[in-house]
Amino acid sequence: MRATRWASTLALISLLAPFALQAAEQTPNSEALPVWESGIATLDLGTDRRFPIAYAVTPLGTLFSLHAVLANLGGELKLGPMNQAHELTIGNVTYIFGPDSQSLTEGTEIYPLSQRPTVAEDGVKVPLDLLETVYGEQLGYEFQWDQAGRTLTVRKMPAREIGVEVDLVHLQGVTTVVLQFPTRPRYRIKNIPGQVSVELIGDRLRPGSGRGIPDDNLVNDVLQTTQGIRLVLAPEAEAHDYLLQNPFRLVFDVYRSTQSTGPNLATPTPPTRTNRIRTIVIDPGHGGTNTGARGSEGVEEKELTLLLARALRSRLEERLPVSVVLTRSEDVDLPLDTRTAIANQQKADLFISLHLNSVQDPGARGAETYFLSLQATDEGAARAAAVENRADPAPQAEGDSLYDLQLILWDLAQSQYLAESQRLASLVQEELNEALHLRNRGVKQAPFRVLLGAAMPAVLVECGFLSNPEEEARLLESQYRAELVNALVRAVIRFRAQIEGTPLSLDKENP
Amino acid sequence: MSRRQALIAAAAILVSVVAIIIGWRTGQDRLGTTDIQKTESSEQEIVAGQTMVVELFFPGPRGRLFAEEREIPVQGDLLKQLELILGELLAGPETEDLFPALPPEVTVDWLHLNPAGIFYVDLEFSGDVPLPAWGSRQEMLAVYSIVNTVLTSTPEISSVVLLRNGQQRPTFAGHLDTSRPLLANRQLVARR
Repeated sequence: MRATRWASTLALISLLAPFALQAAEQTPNSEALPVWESGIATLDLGTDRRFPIAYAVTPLGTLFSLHAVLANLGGELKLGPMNQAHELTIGNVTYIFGPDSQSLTEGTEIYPLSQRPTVAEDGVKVPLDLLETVYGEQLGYEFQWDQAGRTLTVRKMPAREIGVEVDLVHLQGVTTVVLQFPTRPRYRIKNIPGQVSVELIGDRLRPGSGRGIPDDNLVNDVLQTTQGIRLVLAPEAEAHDYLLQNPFRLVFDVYRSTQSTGPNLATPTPPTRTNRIRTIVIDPGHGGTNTGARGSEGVEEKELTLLLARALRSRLEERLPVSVVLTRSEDVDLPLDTRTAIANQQKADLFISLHLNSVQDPGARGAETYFLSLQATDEGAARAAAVENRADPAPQAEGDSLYDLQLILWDLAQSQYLAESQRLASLVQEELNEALHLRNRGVKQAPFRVLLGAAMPAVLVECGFLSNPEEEARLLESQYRAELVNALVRAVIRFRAQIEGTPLSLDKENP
Repeated sequence: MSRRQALIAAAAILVSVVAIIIGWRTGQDRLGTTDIQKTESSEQEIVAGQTMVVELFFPGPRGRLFAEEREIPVQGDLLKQLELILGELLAGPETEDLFPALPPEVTVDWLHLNPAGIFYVDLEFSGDVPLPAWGSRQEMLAVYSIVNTVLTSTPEISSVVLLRNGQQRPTFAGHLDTSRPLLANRQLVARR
C-alpha cells in the first residue's frame, strides 16, 4: 500500500512538474535567461590581492556576485521590501536595483542595464555594467572581465587629463552654460544654493583648457580648477542641468528662482497651451559643413533655406503680433536636436523647419510638407522594439544608454501635438499648391529627427526639388521665393485663426 | 502488495517516466528559442535547384520606390538568404528607369537577427566615401529601399535597425531618425 502511495505521488509530481516549471518560468526570477556557464572566478584587485567570486554567463553577458565585490571594494547592501528592491550605498550615494528591473536608479538618474540582476540562494548577482556604473562613478574603479581566464580585474582608473570648452549664451531671461568635453568624463554634480559644481572623479581638467566667462546677470563667475568647474550663481538664481550627446555636453540652464519652472531642453516639458500663437521658431535646414542638397547649378540647400527663413521671419513679424526666432541666422553647423531644443527653450508655439529636396530623378518636382511619424502606426511596437534593442548584444546607439531614455522622452514631446501638426501641415501644403501651382505631393509623415523632440506643433516643409533644373532656377529668383514665403505666411495666419478662434483676414497680394 | 496495487504502481511509474521525458524535451525547446548566437553561426546551405522570387525596392521616377522582381537561389539559412537579397539590392536595378538605392561603394558589413525579429544591417561606407549631400527624399528612398525590401521578403522580421560603419546613428544622412528600429513605409511605393 505504501508503495502504491509513493508511486502515485511520484506520478502526480511528475505530471505536474512540466506545468510547475512553466509557471515558475513566468515569475520574474525564473524568467532569467538560461545560464550557459557558472562557477567561481578570480577577483583580481592587484598586488597579489586575489579573491574568489561567483559568476554566471547568460546570453546577455556575465553576472557577478555582488557580495564578493562588496566585501573587497566596500559598500553596503540592504534588501528592500519583499526582497524586490535592493539599496547599494557607497559613501552617501544610494543606488537602487532589483531582479524585476533592467535598470539601476540613483536619485532621478536611471541607468539601463544589459540584463537584470538575479537573486538566488547563493546571493545577489549583478551585470558588469552595474559594477562599472556604481564603483566607477563613486570610487573611480574600472573592471575588466577575462572570460577565458575567468578573472575579473579591478583597478583604479588612470587619471585622464581632459579639456573642456565653456560656452555661455543668454536668451530671454535664461543663461545657458555648456561644458563640452571631447569624451565623457567621470563626474558628479553638486547643486547647492548659490553655486553648482562639476567634480571630476579620477580625471583632471587640463589647466587653462576652459575660458573665463563674460559678464552675465545670472552667472557671476565660472571657476575652473584641475578637479572641476564651479558656476557661481547670482543671488536667487538656480540651475537645472542635463546632458547632450555627440559630443558629450553638460548643460546648465540658469534662471531666476522666482520663475515657476526652469527650462528643460533635453527632456522637454510641454508648455502650458494658451491657444495663442506668440512665438514661432523657424529652422533653416542644414548649415556650415552640412550643405544639404546641391542643385545642378551648384546652389546649396543651406543657402536657400537661410534666405527663405530670414524672409519668412520678416513677413511674419510684419503681419502678426508674434516673436519669430531663427535656429540659425548664419552659415553654421547646428545639430538637429539643438534646433528642436531651441524651440523648446523659447517655449515656441510653432516650429517650422525649412528644407529643399533632391532625388536622382531630375523630373521630380513640387513641394511637400511633413509632420512627424512615430514610425508608422504601431508606436507601442516600436517602443517595445527599442527596449528589445537595448537588451540585445548588438552594437548600441552612439553615446550611452541614457541617450535612449532621452529619446523616449523626446518622442513624447511631439506625440501630444501630432493632430495640430497635421493641421498645420495641411494648411501649408494647401497654400503652397495654390500659390505656386506646384505639383501636389501632399501632406506626409516621416520620422524626421528634427521634429522628434518639439513640444509644439511642428512641420518640415520641403519647398521644392533642387535636383529639378527648372525648379532650381525658379528657387534662385527672389520673386518666386517671395511667393513661397507668402504662402507660408498665409498658412500660419490661417492656423493661428483656427487655434485662437480669431477672424481670418487674408489678402492674396499682401498676406 | 496485492496484484492490483502492483499494477497501479507500475502504471504510475510508467506515467512518471513519460512525464519526465516530456518535461525535459519542453525545457530543451524553450532554451533553444533564446539561443541568440545560433542565428549567427549557421552555415550556408543551398537547396539545389530551388529558387524564389523577391521584390527589391529601388528609387524611380517622381521620387518613389518601385518594386523589381528578382529570382534568387533559396538558401537554407535565413541570414544567408538576407545577405543574398541585400547583395542583389546593392547591385542595383535591372529596370532602365530605376536608380541604385546607395552609392556603389557601399557594402553590407554585418548582419544580425535577434530573437524578437529585429534585423540589424550594418552598411559600410568606406573611408573616402563621404555621405552624399542628399535631400530628405533621397535619404528616405535609400533607407526604405532596404527596410521595405527586407520586411517584404522576410515575414520573420518585424523591424530593421540600420547602422553605418558599425554605429547606430541619430540619423542616416541628416534627416531620418535611425536611432530605433524602422518599419516599412508603404507611402513611398508606387506601382506601375
